[in-house]
Amino acid sequence: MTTAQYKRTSVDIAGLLKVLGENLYSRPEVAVRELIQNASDAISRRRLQTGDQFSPRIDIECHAADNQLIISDNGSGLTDTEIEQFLTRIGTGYTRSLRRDEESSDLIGAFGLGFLTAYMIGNRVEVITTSQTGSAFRFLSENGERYIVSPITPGDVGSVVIISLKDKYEYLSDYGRLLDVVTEYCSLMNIPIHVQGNSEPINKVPPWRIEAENEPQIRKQKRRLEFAEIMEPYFDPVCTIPLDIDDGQGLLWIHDRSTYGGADNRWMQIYVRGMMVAKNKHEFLPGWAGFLSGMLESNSLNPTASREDIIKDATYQSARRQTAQNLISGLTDIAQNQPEVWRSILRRHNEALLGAAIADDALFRAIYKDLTVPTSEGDLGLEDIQSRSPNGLAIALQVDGGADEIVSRAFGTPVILGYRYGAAAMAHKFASIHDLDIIELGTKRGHDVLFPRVETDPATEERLRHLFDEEDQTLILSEFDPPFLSALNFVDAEQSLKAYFEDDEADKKISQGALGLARAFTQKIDKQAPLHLVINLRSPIIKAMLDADTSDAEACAKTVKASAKMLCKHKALGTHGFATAMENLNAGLLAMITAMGARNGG
Amino acid sequence: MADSVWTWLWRLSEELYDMGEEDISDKIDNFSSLAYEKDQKQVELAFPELIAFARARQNKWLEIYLRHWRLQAYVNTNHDPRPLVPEVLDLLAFANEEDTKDCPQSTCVIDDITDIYAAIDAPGFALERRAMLEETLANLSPHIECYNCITMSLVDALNDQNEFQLALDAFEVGKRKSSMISEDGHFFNYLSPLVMKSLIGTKQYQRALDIAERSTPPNEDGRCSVWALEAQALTGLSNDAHAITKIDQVLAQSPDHINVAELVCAVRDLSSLHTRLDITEKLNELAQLSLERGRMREGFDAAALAFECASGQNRHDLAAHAVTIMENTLPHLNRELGAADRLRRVQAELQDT
Repeated sequence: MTTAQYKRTSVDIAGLLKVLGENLYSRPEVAVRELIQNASDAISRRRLQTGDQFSPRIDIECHAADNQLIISDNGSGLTDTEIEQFLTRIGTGYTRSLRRDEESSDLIGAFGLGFLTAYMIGNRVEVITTSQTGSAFRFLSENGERYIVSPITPGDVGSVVIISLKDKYEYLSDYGRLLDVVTEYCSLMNIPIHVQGNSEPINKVPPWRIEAENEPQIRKQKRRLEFAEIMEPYFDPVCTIPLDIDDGQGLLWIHDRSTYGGADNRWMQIYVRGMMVAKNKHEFLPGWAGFLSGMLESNSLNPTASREDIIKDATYQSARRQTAQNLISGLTDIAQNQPEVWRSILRRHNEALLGAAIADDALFRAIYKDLTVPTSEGDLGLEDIQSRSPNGLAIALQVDGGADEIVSRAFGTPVILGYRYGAAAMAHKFASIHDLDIIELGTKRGHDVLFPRVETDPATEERLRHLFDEEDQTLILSEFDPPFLSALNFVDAEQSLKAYFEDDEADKKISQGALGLARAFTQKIDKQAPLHLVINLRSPIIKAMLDADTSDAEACAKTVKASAKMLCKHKALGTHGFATAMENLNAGLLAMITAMGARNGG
Repeated sequence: MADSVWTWLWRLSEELYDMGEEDISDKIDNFSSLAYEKDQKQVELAFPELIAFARARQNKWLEIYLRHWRLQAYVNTNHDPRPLVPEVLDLLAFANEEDTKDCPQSTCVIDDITDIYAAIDAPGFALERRAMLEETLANLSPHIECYNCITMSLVDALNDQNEFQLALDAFEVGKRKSSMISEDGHFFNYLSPLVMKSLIGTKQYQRALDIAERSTPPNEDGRCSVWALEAQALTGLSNDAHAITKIDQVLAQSPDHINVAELVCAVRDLSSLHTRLDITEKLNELAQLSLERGRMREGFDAAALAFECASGQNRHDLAAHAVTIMENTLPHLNRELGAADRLRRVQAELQDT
């Protein structure tokens, strides 16, 4: 019987590479970034540890004929011990401990996984390195499972990593593709990166690193706009908003393209220590900001293990909040201090800005006067609508606002098209700040405002009931403007609910539990016929009917009721109801004309 | 009901894309996420246009989807639930017609109803909520997503009836039938505060704390609920000091995220907190907010506890304010469940001081 003993856990390199390739990193191109990151860290290490005066540089070359990728740097290089420790031992990242020891924020790496990515894309990896200590070595490995290290004649301090690409990654030896990848990830790095020996590095210097406080504003704005034009992938920028948060800086810019409300073209890149970590992190920006893009560089944000995203910890949430605040302050500043730019933004993004104004009270107060909402009379400002709406802001929530929309239009009141993006929410916010009434057309609340109930003397009421009462219809006496609207029909939604749930048919359709709750609610509503007929006591026709003899009044009443039903257009009326209303209208008019003729002796 | 909601939604999105309606398709697809993330302002911004689109095309299933998620956004973001009652009942009627009853989102209207009534008076409507949810579950396949939400709501209703063991039983049944409810499942993080409450109700305090350790609340509201429940469990284990730490964590949060009912339970159990003026003031503040937001039972219970604390601290002003809130909330409770007696007692006590 063998005795129990501890054994060392082994690692299946091929299996680990598979996991890296398939589960940790989303794209093989990330390997290029990781290797550039290693090169950058080597340069930073050389600076920190030797104080050498040298011009740092990273070169990336691709040789399509040999299917090779070559990354060179003039950083610290590696001794043989360091090769054993850091190239052949997974999880031991030199950079992490160096960053801790030197307290340097220039160092990027953290997880000791970067070099392993070379094996993701290459089936043969060679490193030729001259250490800052003077020794030089050649490291060679096939597939990462075995390696050989041999001494060589020292050259210039630095390292050259040569990757023979696997067939399926040969596209990385294409210059155009390689340039795109390097530019995407590394354009904000501090160390110049040259692709294919080009004299110009691919690096861009972001404006926030070089702006001087006493620099003229116009020069700063120009530089920022030029930078945004280079970095923005889809749209042209029309203006920029600088981003300055705790331990982070960046830039936001507004698209030069018209948007409708709710369109989401947010685009945001996040950089940590000069390396792009999160691509198109659109959710970093507020949901209403669909008309802008941005970039943020912050060394406080914590990347995930694959460095392809940011961990959503408290630092991230704080950065997000501060970015939103910056954006709101920036928009407010533009609205108040850059009128031409603001006009240009309004032309393009009025609807989207409704969403922005709703989301933030300070922004609302700063910009609401400049925004328009869609109305029955075109796009109007809220103060303009207010001046023409003595009874309150009328909002149609449905495309067909029904009878009350007719009243509003007859009165010359603009009706806000509440079914369009942001219009209803904006109107509500404006109304609450200015203590205005809201008339939501087609709702009970709206009806109560537009058609206030009045009482009249018993004799008049009796006459009107005789003329207008109908089964399945509730008569309401009101006084409203304009007087030439004699009567209107509308459906009481609560009465419809009551009728529905208290009908026996509901037991067949609705579960008993839900029906019980529904009936508990509807039983508190006094029963009335759901179709309401509102009679306008200000109407000259109604007044004349009260004085006319009965047969004339009855004929007229038929006409008035019919026209009310036809204006109603409610689906409850149905085709048959509409046809009947037309017939009654004609019959009523005929009766009136006949009566007139008889009186004239015809 | 053939499809899951998301399958149906995905298919609709594809159809709209093919018709050239890419923008509308994206907005419709995104609408439920906005509600899920409690971005009620964005929901309100998007809703009018989308509902007009659905109605213009007479797409009733889409209308149900939009109206359901809009209601969810409203009730889960501290809005007064009472004005939502006519709308949710109208939606109930709408969703149970011949051409709408098979819509995958129709069952979710039951959740809307129970959420709205629970927001008004959770224990007062618990009987009706339970009946409705049990009836719905009996006719629901566990393979449909709605099963998870309805189960969750049933556990909640049973807790509100103080039927904690039955709540645990309902959770166990749900776990057996649906992998999403199991402790590895997606729903567990939403369900865990409810299960904790059931465990605390059955004095299984350590198990409740184990659940807290394993769960990851999906948002700040969830975190606050778990902290308050942890405090209750810790008090049950006589670990008052740690319980107070948890309560202080809750108190440091915005009132918008605090589960008032759970906080009241947590503070009630810890008499040492009743001498703290900040607790009394906070309870009063939350009671006032609850009243303004139409959350009547929460407001009453918070005010009742605030009165007790204020009386003990000889703060007549705070005690009087608490009584006013109790008086204003009592008429709106569906069942008073002893609230009227409680009010009479505190009114008498206030008069005596």
